[in-house]
Amino acid sequence: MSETLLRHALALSLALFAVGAVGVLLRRNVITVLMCIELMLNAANLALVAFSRSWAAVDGHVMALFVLTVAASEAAVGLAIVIALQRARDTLDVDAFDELRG
Amino acid sequence: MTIDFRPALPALIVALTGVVALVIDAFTPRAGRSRTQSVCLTGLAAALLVTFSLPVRIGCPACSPLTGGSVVSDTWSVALQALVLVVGMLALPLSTAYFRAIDQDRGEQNALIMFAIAGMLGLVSSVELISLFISLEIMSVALYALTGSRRARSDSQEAALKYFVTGAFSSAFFLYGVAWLYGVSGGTTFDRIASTLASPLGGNVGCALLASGFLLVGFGFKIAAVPFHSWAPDAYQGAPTSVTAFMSTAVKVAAFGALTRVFHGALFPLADRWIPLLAALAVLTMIVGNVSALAQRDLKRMLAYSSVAHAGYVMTALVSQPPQAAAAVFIYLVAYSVTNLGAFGVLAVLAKDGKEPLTLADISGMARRRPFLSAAMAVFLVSLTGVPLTAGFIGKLRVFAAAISADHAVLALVGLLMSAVSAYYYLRVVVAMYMEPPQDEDRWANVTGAAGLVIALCALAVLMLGVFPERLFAWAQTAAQTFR
Amino acid sequence: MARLLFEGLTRVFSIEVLPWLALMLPFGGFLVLSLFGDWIRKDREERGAGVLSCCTVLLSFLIAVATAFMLGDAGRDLEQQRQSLNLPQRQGPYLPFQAYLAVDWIDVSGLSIPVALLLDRLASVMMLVVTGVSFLIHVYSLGYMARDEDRVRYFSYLNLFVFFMLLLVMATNLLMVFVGWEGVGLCSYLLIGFWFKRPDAAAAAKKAFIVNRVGDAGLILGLIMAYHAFGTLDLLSITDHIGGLAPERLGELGIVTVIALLLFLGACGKSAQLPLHVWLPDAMEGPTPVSALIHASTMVTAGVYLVARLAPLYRQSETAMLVVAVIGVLTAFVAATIALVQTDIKKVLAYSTVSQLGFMFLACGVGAFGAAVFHLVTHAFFKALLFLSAGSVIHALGGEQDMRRMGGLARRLPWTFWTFVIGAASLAGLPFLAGFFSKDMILEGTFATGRTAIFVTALLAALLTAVYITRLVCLAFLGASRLDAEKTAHAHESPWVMTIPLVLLAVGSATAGFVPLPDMLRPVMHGAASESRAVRWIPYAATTLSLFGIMLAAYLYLLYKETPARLASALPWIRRALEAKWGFDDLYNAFVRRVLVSGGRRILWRAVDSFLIDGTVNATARAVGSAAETLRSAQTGLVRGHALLVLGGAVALVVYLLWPR
Repeated sequence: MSETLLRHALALSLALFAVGAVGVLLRRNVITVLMCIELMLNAANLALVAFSRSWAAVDGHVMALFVLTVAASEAAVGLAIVIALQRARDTLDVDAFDELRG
Repeated sequence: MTIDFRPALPALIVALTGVVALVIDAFTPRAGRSRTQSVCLTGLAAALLVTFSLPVRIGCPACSPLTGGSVVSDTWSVALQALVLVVGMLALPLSTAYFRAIDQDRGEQNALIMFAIAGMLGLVSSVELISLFISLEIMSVALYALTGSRRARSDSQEAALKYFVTGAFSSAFFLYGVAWLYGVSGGTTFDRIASTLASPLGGNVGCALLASGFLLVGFGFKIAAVPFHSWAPDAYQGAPTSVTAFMSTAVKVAAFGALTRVFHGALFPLADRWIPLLAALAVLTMIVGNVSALAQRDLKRMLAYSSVAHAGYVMTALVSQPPQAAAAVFIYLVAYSVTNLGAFGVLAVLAKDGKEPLTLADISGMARRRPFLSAAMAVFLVSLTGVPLTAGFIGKLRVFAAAISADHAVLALVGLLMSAVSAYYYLRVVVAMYMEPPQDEDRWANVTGAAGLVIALCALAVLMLGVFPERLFAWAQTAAQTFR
Repeated sequence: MARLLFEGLTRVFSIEVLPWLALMLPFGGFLVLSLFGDWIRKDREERGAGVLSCCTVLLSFLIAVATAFMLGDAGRDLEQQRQSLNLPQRQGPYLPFQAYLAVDWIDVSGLSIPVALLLDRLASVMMLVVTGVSFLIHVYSLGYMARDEDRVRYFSYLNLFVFFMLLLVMATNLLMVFVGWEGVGLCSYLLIGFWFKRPDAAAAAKKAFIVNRVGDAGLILGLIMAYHAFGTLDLLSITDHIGGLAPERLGELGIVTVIALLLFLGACGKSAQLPLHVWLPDAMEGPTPVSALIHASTMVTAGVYLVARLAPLYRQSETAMLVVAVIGVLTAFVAATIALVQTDIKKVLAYSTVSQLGFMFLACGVGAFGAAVFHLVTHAFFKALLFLSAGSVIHALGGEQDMRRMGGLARRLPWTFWTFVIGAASLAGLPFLAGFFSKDMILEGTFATGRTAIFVTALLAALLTAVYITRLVCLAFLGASRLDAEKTAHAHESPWVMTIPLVLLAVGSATAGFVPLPDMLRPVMHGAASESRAVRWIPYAATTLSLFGIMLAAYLYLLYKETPARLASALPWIRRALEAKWGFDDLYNAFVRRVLVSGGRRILWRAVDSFLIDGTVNATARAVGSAAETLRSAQTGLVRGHALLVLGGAVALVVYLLWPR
């Protein structure tokens, strides 16, 4: 993998990561927030794969696969929590959940 | 090519026990009580046995993720795995008692605790980035579910959501740090990273620093260091109290175990860059944690901020040189775990009919009704304050001594000042129990059986460690041999 | 099995373990009583708390007796023990009766905190006195406090006091002494203010607290200076260090004088010496057994103990010795004169205590350290006895303390009366009673220094002692009854739990003088040349003086009762001076009010008041409080808030790490 391509991939990855991070802060819908977090994970995946190619090793690829699995399980638990809350409070607005504070 | 699975055995045993517990549970009638407690305890005991019987090696020569070198069994991992397992064994009876009191004893929480422990065991024995991240996630995902496991109450769900969203958010930072660290060093093992960072890096030093910053965000979140702490009071307050007891202790043990290994192992060549940062975070954590705890009226929330503050005390030890820092961290973690588990445990075992003591008024005058439980609580609070002859004092002594020996006397000074501040909110509880009249009729459960035994054991441990700390020091010295 | 048991027992009953047991038993009692006190209190009538408390102290006493006998052959391992504890190398020789009882509490590389007890003859004597007298007073308290609502709290404080006092006398280093010192001070404060609902008691407690802080400031400074000068706080090392210095180098040892005087300032506070004596008479607001235990026989002698323990240090500084002697003799005299005109039975005894403590410091100041400890021991017996007898009187009269409303109690309270008389005679120094020997030895030591003025003042104080105590006996017990009819009917002898301790203390007051204590203690004090009994005529002179004083007082207060009043009106300024207690309280009040408060107001206007005091103390508290509230309101509990913090933190970390340098 050429140096330029690595640079481009990393730049894209950083941008994705920033978009995801800012999205978590700005979006109010819980589902969208979860998707933004997925975006951040995938930014990391992109970086991993790019680095892996540039080092000509498989570690990064293996790791990216693991991350996909982890992200899936995380999403499963996250959605379960969201569903339970939706039942209890009848809303998906993250700002509505402020019983615990202070 | 042979893969040596033995270092992963404890985690595998615990995870398998969790699966067995789930299966047993599926065949238990809905109305009946869960029988998984004894199964899980057996699994933990077996894992403990295996942990100690594995051959211990120091360091990790030529390990690679593909040859089974992801996790090791060295002195540090044995010590911390043992601590995690003991904390787990103490937390299980508390959990059963609590979930029975809120009439939700279905056993799945035991399985989740098992999975979380499996993650923690992996976390403290990982010497490589992939397994580190996966272990962290196994632990976290199980904990998110545990936090929300009190289904009848929406604050438990809310706590779970907050914990989950911020947790996943910080995990993403962690993973990003992992990716960049891999990019800099071209390998995922800590040894490889350390040797890369020790050689001249040139322009890549920026990437390495960026990566270590992101890793610190992830770890800071798990140990609840300021400014990554704000989830902790919410999650600790909303979670079922027995889960809080477990997660405020075991998670900190595991996260600090991994943090020490990563920063004092893989990232040590960059130490002069991150030590000032850790020192600053420690000061901030001690101050914000203690001062915030002052204003709390809810006992669980107060103890939550207190455990934030205690993360700060542990961090003061991390500014010193590796063996000493690791020994002090281990000592503090042992002292803190038994103490804090006991303190939250007292609140948990008092739960009855879905209610539990939450405010000072709820426990005022408790000494007249429950002298032994009150005495135990007083011991825990005094130990959290750091009074001599308790474990808490020994822990503080060692971490502050470590900070002073590394010429960070300011940290010790702040720590001492903040300990004085903390006396105010801890001893307020003791005063309420002993010197104020009971507010109304006794609404809380009678503590019996295994849960009572756990509280007694914790109190005994706090006193024994406080009076005879030598054995603990010897363990810590052995545990820290990994970091020579 | 039997052999195993035997071996276990011999392990416990060794001199390495027993003193720890003696120390921790009262503490255990305190813990049980304070943690489970409410539980015990469920049954209003029972005496469990008191009995438990008595038992712990009795066991401690028995252990103290046992260790005193075992002390003879326990010094062998001393050097080895010291080395294993990383204590500094000693220069002095080891004496066969010193033992370290050590637990190296924390000992890992780089950090060594040995916790050791020092048990030599001096400590052993102090242990015996503390536990013995404490036990008797505990038993007495069973009767005296029988109807008090709060007796569980009372006994728990009493036990805590015994613990700290034992810690103080068995401490190996000045830091442990300091811990014990502050601990007994705390207990004293708690017990003076035990009946905190009485405003007087609360005020007295506060006064004792404040005055003692002045002394403590000296003690802390002395501690720091001592550490600076000697590099250690280990008591034996300090005394060795001093002893090992060549005499010609002592000229450079101005620092020794400073240290000695600073520590003596601390001793003055605790032992109520001029000019810090003002708190002790007020401390009589506490329950009478507390006055007997803490404010007469044990805690207030801690200062004497400290000075005696550091005898080699004081010997090196003539200035310090002179100051100690002068302060001591002045206190002895001044307090004795004030005792002459007091009408409250406990206040007389309180001033008497101050005066006798003055005698002890006088003994230290003239180099008769053995005599000082000897007097400390005999005084512990007879003063505890006097206080307890007085308590028995007060108990019998339903709280009456004014001697002008007593009289003729001898027939009603025969046990109390006779035990009181024995105590009084011992205090006055009648031959062959305990006080006779010790006071005599002090006077001899004073004479031997050749300072006539001090010697004469001491003789005068001894004479006054006989006068005021005889006056007390006459007014309270002899003559016609001045009681109200109601109280006359009520007056009764105290129960046996109160009279038996009186009898035992009376036996001690009569016989304790026959123990050759100064000879036994001489090696601990590193020898003392001036403690010889060369002067034959002093015992006769002292006895004559005492008898004269007794007869004078009997003449004045039994036979010609109008004479004191006539004397008083003939010499009004003396009366006024004495009744105003030489004006110390007024002086301090005026100083605090005029100089500190109004002076402060005038000169610094509000600056001190509202800026410095409010500014520092209150503002700190307020700042912390408002910071807590601010943090609290900053925690909005919103997910996005948490995420923002995480992101902000991450950005801050990365910016810091990547900041170019």
